[in-house]
Amino acid sequence: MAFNQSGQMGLKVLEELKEECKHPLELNTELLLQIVKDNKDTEYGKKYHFEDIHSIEDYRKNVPVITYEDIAEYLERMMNGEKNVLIAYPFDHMNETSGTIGAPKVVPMSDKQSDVFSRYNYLLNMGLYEKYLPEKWKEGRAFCTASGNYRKLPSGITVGEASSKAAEMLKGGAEEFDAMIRTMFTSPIEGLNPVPGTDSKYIHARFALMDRDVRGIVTGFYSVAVLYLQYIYDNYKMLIDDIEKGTIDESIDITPETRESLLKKITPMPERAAELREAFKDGPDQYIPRVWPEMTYIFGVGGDGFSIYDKTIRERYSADTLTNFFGGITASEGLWSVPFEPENPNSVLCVKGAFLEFLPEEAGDDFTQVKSINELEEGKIYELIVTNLGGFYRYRMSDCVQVTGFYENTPCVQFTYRRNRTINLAEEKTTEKALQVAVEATAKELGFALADFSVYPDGEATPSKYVFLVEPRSDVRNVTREQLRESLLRQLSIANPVFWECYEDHWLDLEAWFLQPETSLLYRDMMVRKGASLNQLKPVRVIMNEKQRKFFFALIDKAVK
Amino acid sequence: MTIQTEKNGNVLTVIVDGSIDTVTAPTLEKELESLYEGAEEMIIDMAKVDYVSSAGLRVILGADRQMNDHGKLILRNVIEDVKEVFEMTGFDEILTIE
Repeated sequence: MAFNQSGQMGLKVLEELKEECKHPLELNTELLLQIVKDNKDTEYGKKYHFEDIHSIEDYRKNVPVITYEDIAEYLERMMNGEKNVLIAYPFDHMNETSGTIGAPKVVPMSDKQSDVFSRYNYLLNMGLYEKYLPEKWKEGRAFCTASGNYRKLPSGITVGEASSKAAEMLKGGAEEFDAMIRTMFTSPIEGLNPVPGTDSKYIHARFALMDRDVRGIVTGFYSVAVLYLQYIYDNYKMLIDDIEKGTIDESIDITPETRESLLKKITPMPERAAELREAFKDGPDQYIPRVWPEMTYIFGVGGDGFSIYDKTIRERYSADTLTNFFGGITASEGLWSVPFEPENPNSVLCVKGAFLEFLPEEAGDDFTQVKSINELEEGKIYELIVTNLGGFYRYRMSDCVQVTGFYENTPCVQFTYRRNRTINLAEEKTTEKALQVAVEATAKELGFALADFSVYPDGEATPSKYVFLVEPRSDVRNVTREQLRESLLRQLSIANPVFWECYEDHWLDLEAWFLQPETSLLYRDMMVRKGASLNQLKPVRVIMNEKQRKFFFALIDKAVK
Repeated sequence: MTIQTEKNGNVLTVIVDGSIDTVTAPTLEKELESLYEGAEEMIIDMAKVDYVSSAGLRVILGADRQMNDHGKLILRNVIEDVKEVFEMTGFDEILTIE
């Protein structure tokens, strides 16, 4: 099995991570000086005198903090094939961000950046499984939800989401690579690297269900895993029929070429179909341990801001049989923190992944207050400023993290909020995290299961108000809107006491509605239909624009009084 | 909710009467699934549909995706209240509504 070797290699990476975490400043500085040395002859390196940089202080003196707009023109030229613009490192791919708020952005995926992802996003996970899971984890494959699309530019450079880089490499070797990836994951290349318009949910789900020995689920966000698990929940009869007959249902949206290619990989499996029918005979609730009795782990960005989905997976699909490995903070721009043990939503800063700087939350735009990795205080919140291996120097991420403790000498963090997604109607600065804590506590208090929620900050109202739109996953007929509002008010005041002060002073108010069931799923379906990538879609916690506002307000459940 | 179908060559009209909500949406989904094959144009007559929930919208969106493969889905005679939901959610930018 492919995991024997990578498990051992992963253990080594895990041990090395522990050593790296003993010397965070030393190694992070070493990485910075290597980056500026390697790139001193690039256009950007010359402009900001990289050759004169010999310390963090020099770097801060010479190089400005930037946003994407500051380097957009350089990136455009790199996409056209120009070399030595931002980086001297070779690259043939650019990651594309989801563009959840603005237009999509591109980030050069240099060979060195790719190595960081391979080491800390793949091998390290293998090490965690090897160390913390029973031996059987490597005796079967994983159900993978990744689907990457990319496009090739006239310059020969490919552009797409991060996961499509691997898929692109695999596709180069066609059948051989497909066979290789299928020793690790149940999905074939048609699902991992689908042609546009392909129903990759069917492909992933179908091939995972065919295999009784699946050991884990590997996903981007836990919210995406929920979509796939719900797809099986809703469509298990059709999927089982197909598995029995070795067919692909006519209703499945795939090109004739993909259908033909997939059918070559499928044979009728009446015995597996009989097993699955038995597993679903009393309905689909908590089907995972019956469908995949050896499944033992799930890996993805969960916990923390995604804890609603962890809970949904535990309660609805898995019966709490899976060990959770929560991924660290990773973005198309790079990898900032990594997990070091299971069931821990805190991740440790990755000192060899990028050069990291930290702007204290209260500093606003005063970059003279920027801190290094050794200067962070537990409990405080900082905005990340990153220097990666893809040509982003002192790039302002807008992601804010809270220091939650230390692993060896290196700070552990949790993602707290995106700077531009905080609600700040009356200087109360309510984070997404505070909203989530309040909604989860409310659901618990009122006794309903939570599917998702969104909040609209209504600055036009007098006083300004938070409009909570809460989607239940269970019956809420016994709950009134007033009860929902009162509970949210109480819980939000605990999560953010400043909100309560503003409420008491009549600066802020709160309104609450239930959303119709399946509204969040519909939103994701709609966005995918409009061309968004399923794997990059994040939940809409704070409604940011008029389209989102109209969408969610149109689907309020007016039956709840 | 009741569903009736009328076929005229390759054009299939599905007449829906009632609300398409969390309870009835699975029935509509199942019915539509049996009708895609062979239909080049599927018309859902919504004159008597007084309400469409999120679950119902998901079924209609799925039907549109299915029909896009080999034909076209048209929503016809949509009443004002439902049309407003289509407009608010952005469905009118995706679906063909006559």
